Amino acid sequence: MDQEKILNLDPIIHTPTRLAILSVLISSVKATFTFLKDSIGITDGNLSTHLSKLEASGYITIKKQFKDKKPQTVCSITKKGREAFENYVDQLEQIVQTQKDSKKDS
Amino acid sequence: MNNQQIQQELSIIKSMIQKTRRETAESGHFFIAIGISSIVTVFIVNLLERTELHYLIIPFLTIVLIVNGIIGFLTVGNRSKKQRVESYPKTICYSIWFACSVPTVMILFLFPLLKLYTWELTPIFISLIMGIAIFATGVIFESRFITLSSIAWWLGAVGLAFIENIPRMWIMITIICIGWVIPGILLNKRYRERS
Repeated sequence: MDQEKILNLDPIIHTPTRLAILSVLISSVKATFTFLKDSIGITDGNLSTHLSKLEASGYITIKKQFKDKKPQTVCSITKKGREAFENYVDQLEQIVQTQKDSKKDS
Repeated sequence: MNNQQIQQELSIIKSMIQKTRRETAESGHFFIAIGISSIVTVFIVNLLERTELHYLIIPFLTIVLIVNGIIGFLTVGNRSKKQRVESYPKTICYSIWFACSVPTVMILFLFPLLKLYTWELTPIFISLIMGIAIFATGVIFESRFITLSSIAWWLGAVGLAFIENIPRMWIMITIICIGWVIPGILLNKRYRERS
């Protein structure tokens, strides 16, 4: 049962970096590329790769704009991404609960 | 996936949410600035009333409103330039203050000019609206003191309805201190702690 739940975990979110990105975006209206990079502590290239994967899955939107003549990348979570993140957290809670129950039984 | 990995994932979520909250904490400068500006305005309006220069009150309030508007516009513009992340609480809070400032301007200028009521009633109506704005701000920023300070605005409105002349000025200053300056200082204290 536990194994089944783990296998059902969303593979798009099931990496520390993408989980961190979604955790920032779920608690904000939008966040800049710089803020995400500083918060998570990864390189530009690495962050770009993960953002592209999340965008391709429809979990986030990426908007490129100019602010004071400087290019700025702004990311925000979509409804699909929000639902996926909530499901993911629910599944984590269920796994923790199952593990607790099995410990009690043994 | 073992328990340790799950705990690690949950700690990532917690840590990222905390970082975002720190970044988006309200500095309280807006409340302190608007509080001080209002106290000075109340003093000058009272002085103009006492020296019987009533005809200068409306031009003075118009200038104050325009200056505050420009300062507010520049401050928000400057903040949005520096802003790296936009939070729901701040967005909702700014929307509430904007929504409350529109009827405040109407109460302060439009309706008295249309002679729907006398100028003496304006602080009472403004206190009622500010109570709503402060109450909502307190709830959004999870501050019980700020939420409760809205009572000062509403009780102050009742007080202003019965008291006239100089004590009226002191009631207004007390309301502004409890309803704006102190909440601003508290928000600033929390902002510094989080930073």
